[in-house]
Amino acid sequence: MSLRNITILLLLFLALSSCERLFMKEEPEPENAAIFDHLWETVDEKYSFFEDKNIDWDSARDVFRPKAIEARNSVELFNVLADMLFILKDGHVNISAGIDLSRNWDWFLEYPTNFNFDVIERNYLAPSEDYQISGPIHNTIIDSVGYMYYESFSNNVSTSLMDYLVLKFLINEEEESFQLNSLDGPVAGIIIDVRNNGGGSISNAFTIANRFAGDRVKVADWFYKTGPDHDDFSRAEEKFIEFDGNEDYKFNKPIVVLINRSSYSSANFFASMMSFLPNVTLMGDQTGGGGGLPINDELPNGWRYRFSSTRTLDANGNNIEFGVKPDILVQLDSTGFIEGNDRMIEEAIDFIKSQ
Amino acid sequence: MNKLYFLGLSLLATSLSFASFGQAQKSNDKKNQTHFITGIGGSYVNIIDEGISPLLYDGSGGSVILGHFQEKMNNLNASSVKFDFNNPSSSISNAEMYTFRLEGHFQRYWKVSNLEEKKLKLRPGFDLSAKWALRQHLNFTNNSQHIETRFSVAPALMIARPFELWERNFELGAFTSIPLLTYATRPLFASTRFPASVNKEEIEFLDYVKEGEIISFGNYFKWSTQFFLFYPLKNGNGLRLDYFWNYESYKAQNPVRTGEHSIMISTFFKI
Repeated sequence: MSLRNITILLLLFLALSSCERLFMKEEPEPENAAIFDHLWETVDEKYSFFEDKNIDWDSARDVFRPKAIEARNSVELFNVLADMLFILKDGHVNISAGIDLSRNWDWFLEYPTNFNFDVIERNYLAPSEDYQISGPIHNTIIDSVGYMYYESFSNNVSTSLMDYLVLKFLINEEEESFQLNSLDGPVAGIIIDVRNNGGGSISNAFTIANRFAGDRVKVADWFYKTGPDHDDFSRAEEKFIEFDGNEDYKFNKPIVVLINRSSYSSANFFASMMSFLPNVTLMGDQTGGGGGLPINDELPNGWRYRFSSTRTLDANGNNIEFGVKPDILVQLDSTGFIEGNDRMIEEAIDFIKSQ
Repeated sequence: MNKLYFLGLSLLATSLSFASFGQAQKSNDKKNQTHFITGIGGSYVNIIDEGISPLLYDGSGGSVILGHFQEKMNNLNASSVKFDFNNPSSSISNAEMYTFRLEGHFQRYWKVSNLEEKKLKLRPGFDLSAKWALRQHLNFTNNSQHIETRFSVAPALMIARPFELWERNFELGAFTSIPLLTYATRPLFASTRFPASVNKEEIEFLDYVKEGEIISFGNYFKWSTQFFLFYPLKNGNGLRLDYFWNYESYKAQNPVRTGEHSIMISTFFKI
């Protein structure tokens, strides 16, 4: 074989072996039907709450596919897809395009607000000499009760920060000594306020819950989607909380967690976890829910969307997608707001001091 | 921009390689030699990982390789570990990801006596390979990181054609392989969690390789090719210019297709 033939052979080999883009084409301007089908099929196979919510997803396709095909522009197509996703009744479901972000916020819009940070800031935080903003946590001491407001689980907290806050609430400044694990200390208990906390990183929920936990206790079972059928889930992944922090500063006094309908996702899970601690009382309104970890995906036209892909049952078998009920139901009224009064905080203080 | 970067790196590697050609006059006898290989170069990837997105992500990056190459009277043994980093993006969504890939090979080729007499030398052999790949999507949250592993057994072929140019000896050739059997792992269907890591607070490294599946033609296809131009130096060392390419298609629950290219310049140190 001549060098020329070898060269031709190698060049042919090279030409054949580097042409994978022939098999990896993508449509630069996909049809509406292709976009719709991708969204419908992915959600059909990977969304985790069809059976829990008794949703007829096949019927959604019958209703919305013709509308998607008939959509004349991006705005119309977006609205059709958003309308279809709306029936999942899930705050973790969104579709995002440059023009809009679809959302289902019925989980809190249909209920009383039960929260006004302005009232808290002006009447409880700012007037207090103990008011600090420690990382993401607003904190102070109100009438001998520690108060922490955590606005978003997206803002990271650490065990050392939690150690600091617990220490702050346990220092007896008058005696210039620590009164640990004693009702004689400066606070009778702690209020952890996660109202209007829309969630964030689940690890922050564990960090705080572990700081107030005692011995290891099971709080939940997680189930991952493992296949395309609506009931294809993994075996339960058990979730536990256990004390993690400075052993010298364990906090065993009463804790009230304030919740409302805008406590969602990680805040919902946090409330659920805390409810398994013997010294914790949930107070306020039911949480908004959000019991599935959302995952992201993209459509063939580049729009991004997300949806829940796991299920969470608490250690008693309750599906927390639908929210966590308070131990003590308390609603705020507008009169209280006008008077600069947050009834939930007041009731929480009274409850702690009565323990 | 990515393609320009890739081309630039390729040209740099090529020019470095040709600049080195003047260092030797004649080749040494390559029989019974062992070389330690170090190399660096540029890489370029195409990815459609439907566990992440239906969109094509492509982009460039860099590669490094360490290995050994042993030539004996009757066979050749080659082992290598290659690491690639790339920053592909989608031209449709403008989203980006980082990809990290670690791939190890052990290859053996036999010299067939009647074929060795010919100018074009064909050497049959096999290729054992292992791959670990991480794709990190920069715009995703709970499913931003996808990890997968592969262990493959493949028949392989080496083609070599020594030739003389400008009174200097060179060898042009290629290695190619197509796996017959592969053990593969991918994350759970709608999660980045691995089956073996469910119910574990701390994920162990071996969890990434447990509970996978054995796959072959029909749902898995991979074609790897490495073209080379070897230039032996007078002192027994050498320089090699390589072009690596592989295409992989795995029809898993979340199908994935990748095309990976690298151009590398490697030094061969005689040991």
